[in-house]
Amino acid sequence: MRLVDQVDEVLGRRVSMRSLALLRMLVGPVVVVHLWPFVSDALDGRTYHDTFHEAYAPWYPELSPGPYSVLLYVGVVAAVAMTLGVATRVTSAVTFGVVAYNVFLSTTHFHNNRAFLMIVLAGLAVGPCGRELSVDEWWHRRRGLPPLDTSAPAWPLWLLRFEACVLYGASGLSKLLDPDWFGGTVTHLRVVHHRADLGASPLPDWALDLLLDRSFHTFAAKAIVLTELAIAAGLWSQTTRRAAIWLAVCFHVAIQLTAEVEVFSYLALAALVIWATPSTRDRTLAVAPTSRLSRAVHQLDWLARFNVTVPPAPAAAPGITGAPTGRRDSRPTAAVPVAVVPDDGLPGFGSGSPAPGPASASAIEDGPAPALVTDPSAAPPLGDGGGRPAAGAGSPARARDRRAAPVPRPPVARAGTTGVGSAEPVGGDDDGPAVASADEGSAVVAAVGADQSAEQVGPSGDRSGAEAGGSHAVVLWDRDGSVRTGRGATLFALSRLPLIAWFFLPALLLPSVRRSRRSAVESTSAEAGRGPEPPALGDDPAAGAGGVAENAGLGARDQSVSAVSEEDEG
Amino acid sequence: MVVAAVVVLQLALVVRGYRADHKELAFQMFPEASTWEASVVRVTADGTRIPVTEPWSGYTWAALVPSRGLAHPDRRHHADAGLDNQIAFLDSALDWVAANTPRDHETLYLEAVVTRWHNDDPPTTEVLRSPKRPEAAP
Repeated sequence: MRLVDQVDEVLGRRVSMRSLALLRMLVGPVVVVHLWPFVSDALDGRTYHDTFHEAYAPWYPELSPGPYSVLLYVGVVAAVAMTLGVATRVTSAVTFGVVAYNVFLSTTHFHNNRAFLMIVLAGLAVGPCGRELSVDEWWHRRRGLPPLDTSAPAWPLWLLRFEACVLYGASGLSKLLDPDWFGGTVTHLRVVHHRADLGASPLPDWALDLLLDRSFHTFAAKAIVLTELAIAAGLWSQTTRRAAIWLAVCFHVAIQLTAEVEVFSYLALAALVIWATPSTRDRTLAVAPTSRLSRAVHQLDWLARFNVTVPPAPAAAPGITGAPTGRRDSRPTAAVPVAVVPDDGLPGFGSGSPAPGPASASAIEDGPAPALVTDPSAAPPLGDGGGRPAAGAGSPARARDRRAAPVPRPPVARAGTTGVGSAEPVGGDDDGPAVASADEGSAVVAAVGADQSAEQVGPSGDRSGAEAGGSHAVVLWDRDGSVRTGRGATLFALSRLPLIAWFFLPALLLPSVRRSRRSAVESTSAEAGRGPEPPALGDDPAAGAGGVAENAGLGARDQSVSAVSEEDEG
Repeated sequence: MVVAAVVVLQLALVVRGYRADHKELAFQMFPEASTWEASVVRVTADGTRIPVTEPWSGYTWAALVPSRGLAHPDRRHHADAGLDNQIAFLDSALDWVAANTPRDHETLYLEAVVTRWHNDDPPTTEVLRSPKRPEAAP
């Protein structure tokens, strides 16, 4: 296939727009912060007309102060509506229009952060970002209409990714080509110019001396330049993407602490969500429903990466029995998630991971037969309403490969992970969009080759499932078919939550830890004065840490702790 | 087609940024540690030079030119987006003030003597002038 055809295929492939939906929600407040100084001036009766401004072109339409002020108010309202997902197509376009019009009104309005904001808003305006996490979607569902197609051609996402890389790459390149910058003169002089401010800061003397040392900047400047270039290049490869994202986070935090850049830091950090693999529900997390990990994933899995179900019984999971090691098995031994992920790497950029679709199929075909082979008749056929092909397919050949593979069909788990939308995108294939609804039970989980359905496990069943799982309170099937258990699975699941969501983790988990500890102490006060260990993160606070669930003698205590915890959580 | 057009346009703007005063969408961030200061005066028809730090005809320079670090040109400032960008703004600001102060009937033109320090290079000086104002014609 020619390169142009390959690029065309990648750009036209239908992928989940979930990341754009989340970006939409994050960028709306940024727009309000950006527009507010203009609005504030307008409320005081001042506009750009009253002060120095310079039009880019004489033909550019200018409004008189009154209509201009109204336009700013409309922009703020549209940004709020866009965040909420109200008439998203219209409000995202209006928001972009107002911001872009205002930026191009005068050369004095132009800043790099505003330019990037404009670009991001353009991406949101052309991408269908309102079909999830939105009032639109809620209203659509409330009216009983069929689920919205949450997948769309990938080109808006790729354009945004390109622009994000240009942001870092162009900045790094300009510094690389400037001898003063690359040699450290610029950074050193900037520190020298701010010597008085630094002296008044809480920086220790040794740090101040280091910052004022010219030779330090010889190396520091090169590190900054290489950081920007590394981010720009590293984001393209799946192998280096995670490291590049972390580098970008540190980079923007450093910028925010040392410079005044308006909304740039918040915007650039928010825009990192576009680098999430554009598919949803392609990982399966088996965890006790009452555990903190389950709660965290339910509330913070904003990119809808996980199907959440209950842990499998060990008898049906021979491949994952044994002590939880947290080790990642290289091959699936017990189950594979049916959802496979399209390789979203551009041709030639070299995805570091194996192409998930064929790899998964191959793993299924080559895996340990007794554990994997299930009755195909028990499985819903691919593409039907109960278990549609879950992820966006790549090429037609890939799609055909998946259909041909003897994929063991799992029982269906009713396991949406977020409370926001039931219609979750799982990509599409070349036969058209494959939209599955978690509420419809199409969130497919390959559950350990057993006929036990997650649906059939009720609350009590959940408990027995967790307990039967014994030490495997948490099992995670990754999109490539590998399996993680125990703390490894917990850490992996948490690491795959959006970075921004991590800021909510302490608020979510710490009160829970305190309540759980208090509840455990109260419920066990009759026991020999021995306070329980706080349950480990990811373990059911009831089925709990320290092998509590395995200890039949503590069953009563186990249930009482659980009851209190659930009541506290409301 | 749209994607190709955007990619080409963006790359062109990045290249343009190496020559343009205003580097729109070129994303050259924190480009210099350069500084500048300027002595801005109003020159009347009889040749008198009056600093703009003094209010005139109900105007003040800082109120007319509050943005882009131009409010107090007599103080040495960091050129946030580079010296060329900063001087271009100052030049445009002189023109704008000259054209938008209708109550002023004495100023013939505005002039700025700019001293610029490009990073740690020795300072250089240049003079900027606004167009002559018809309001001050004798």
